Amino acid sequence: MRKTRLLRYVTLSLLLAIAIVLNYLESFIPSIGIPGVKLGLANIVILICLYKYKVYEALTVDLLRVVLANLLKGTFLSIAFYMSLSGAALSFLVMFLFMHINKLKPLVISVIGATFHAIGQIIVALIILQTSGILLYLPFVMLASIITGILNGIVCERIMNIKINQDFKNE
Amino acid sequence: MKKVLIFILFLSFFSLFGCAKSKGFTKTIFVFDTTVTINLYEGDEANVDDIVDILNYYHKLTDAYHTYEGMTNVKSINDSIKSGQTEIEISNDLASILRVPKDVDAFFHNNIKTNDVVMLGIGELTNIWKEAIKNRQLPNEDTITQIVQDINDGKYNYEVTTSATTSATTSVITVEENSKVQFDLGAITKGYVATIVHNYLVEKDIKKYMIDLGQSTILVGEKENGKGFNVGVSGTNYVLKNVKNSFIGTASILEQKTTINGKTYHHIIDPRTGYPTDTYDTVVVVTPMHNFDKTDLLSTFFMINPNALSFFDGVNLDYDYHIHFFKDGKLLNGVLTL
Amino acid sequence: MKTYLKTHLLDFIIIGSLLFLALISLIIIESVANTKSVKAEIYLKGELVLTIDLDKETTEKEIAISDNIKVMVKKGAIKVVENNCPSGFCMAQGYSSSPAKPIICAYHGLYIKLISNNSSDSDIDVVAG
Repeated sequence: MRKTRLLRYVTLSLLLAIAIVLNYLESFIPSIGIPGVKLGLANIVILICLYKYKVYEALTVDLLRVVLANLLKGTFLSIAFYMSLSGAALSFLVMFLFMHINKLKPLVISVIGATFHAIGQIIVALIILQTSGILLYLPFVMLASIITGILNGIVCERIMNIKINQDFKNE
Repeated sequence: MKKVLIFILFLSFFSLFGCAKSKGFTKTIFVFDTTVTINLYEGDEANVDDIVDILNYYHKLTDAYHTYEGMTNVKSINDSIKSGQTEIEISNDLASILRVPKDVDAFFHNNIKTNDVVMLGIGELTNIWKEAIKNRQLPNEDTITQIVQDINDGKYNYEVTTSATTSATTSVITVEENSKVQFDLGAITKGYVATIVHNYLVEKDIKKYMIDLGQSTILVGEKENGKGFNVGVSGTNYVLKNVKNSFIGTASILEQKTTINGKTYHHIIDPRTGYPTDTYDTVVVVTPMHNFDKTDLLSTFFMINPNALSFFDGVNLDYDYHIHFFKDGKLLNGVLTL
Repeated sequence: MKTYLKTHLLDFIIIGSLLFLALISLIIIESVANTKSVKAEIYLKGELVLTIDLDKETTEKEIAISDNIKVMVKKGAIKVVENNCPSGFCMAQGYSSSPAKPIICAYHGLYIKLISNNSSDSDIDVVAG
């Protein structure tokens, strides 16, 4: 029993580390043609956590990822941090809800998560900038999110079909 | 599933870049000594070509400087009259242009005598002034007096007759012996052609368009969004707002003018004096889409004959004429609605 | 595990409706994006710091907004050329000339609002005379 718990936290920590590194590396990928659109690779990790671990564990990974990644990039407590935080929180909440309302494919959850990540960011920008003009960005960002969400979803489904780790959810 | 995904991806990218805007068609051509811009927001390219064909045809028909093979146009009529002919066979198309002043008079129950002030046959006088403006030199006073005398003597009169039989494809112009008639249809051609173009647009059910026949003659339908056009008046700060489904006829002295000895001379000549008018700088007539070949003529008419308003007494008009008079960049007397 | 591979109708409905929503709003924005702008208002953290008359600009000109931000203006258009924010979104956006396409950098609280001449209703479409 102790062993499994230890293994559980080690795996979670590894996933957190992967999420942070993915998040950090992502900022070095030049946006290919489409400005400002990020792949959101860290979401793959969060999605896996949501499926394989308990909710509070996944949430911890998600929030820690945001904090640590921003500390790493030197944007902690800046506008970018709050945007990132609200995006992550909203996307987590919606992904969690949709996962439990119906048996949806991880791909669909990924798309929903990516979309609401963008919406969460826009909401914060809306509050900080006090201008409705930013809403004009929403459709564009949303469309990009759907595409990246699908890509991440495919990766996520592939990973989950490979039995790398134990399923900790019901222990 | 993969195929579906690729399809969705493809679709999304396609829609990202495939947002082509329907802009309609625009074409600019040079006819009637001016730049004509055709803007159609509906229909297709063939419609634009058709309109260009119409414009080119009437350009050739009313050209006073060139002849075209197989066509009796204004230049060939003028040459025939010069060589002493008194009866010239012309096409019905040209005949109806020449009859416009008479039609206007009839339309206003002969309260108006446009023929007295807007004469189509006084090309000689018009040319004298065009030369004078170009060379910045006043024409010989005696020549002008002589021409005015000849006008009063009826040497510039002409008659257009079309055979009563419906099968007649041609009409005949009759002038007196030693006639001085030289046609210059500049005052009415564009308005007349606008009518033809408008008839074409009605026939093709095109409602969204703007055709600018060189500022003096503008044909507007609706904009792409169904709204009207804002028409600025040259030389003023005045804007006619939200004009749609209308014809805008303008007579203006601002384009062709010159100043000699401190006095401004331009190309709109009063045949009663032989000299340019100086009552207004610009007269703009806006009317809904009916009989607007008359509107173009009326703007020139009002330019020359500012007292013509009295002629409208007792004339029952079915639609509105909005007449704007401008002098020194200012609107005079408000907008006259007839 | 196998359940992940199953595709339900609901999956399609959700992705489809999200896509539809995004596309429709994009099309609507694109369709109104062709209006010309004549003025740019530059806001930093909600405060108007500069107004530029874009109609009067004839050549390309660089204007410094703050220590880190520079914009480039030309007739009827404006873009951000220097900005030390991490994403670089606003720079990548390039020239913007439509009120429907404002330039925003959330990192600095930069907001460039483009304004068309009052409204398109007062633009002169054609000149008579």
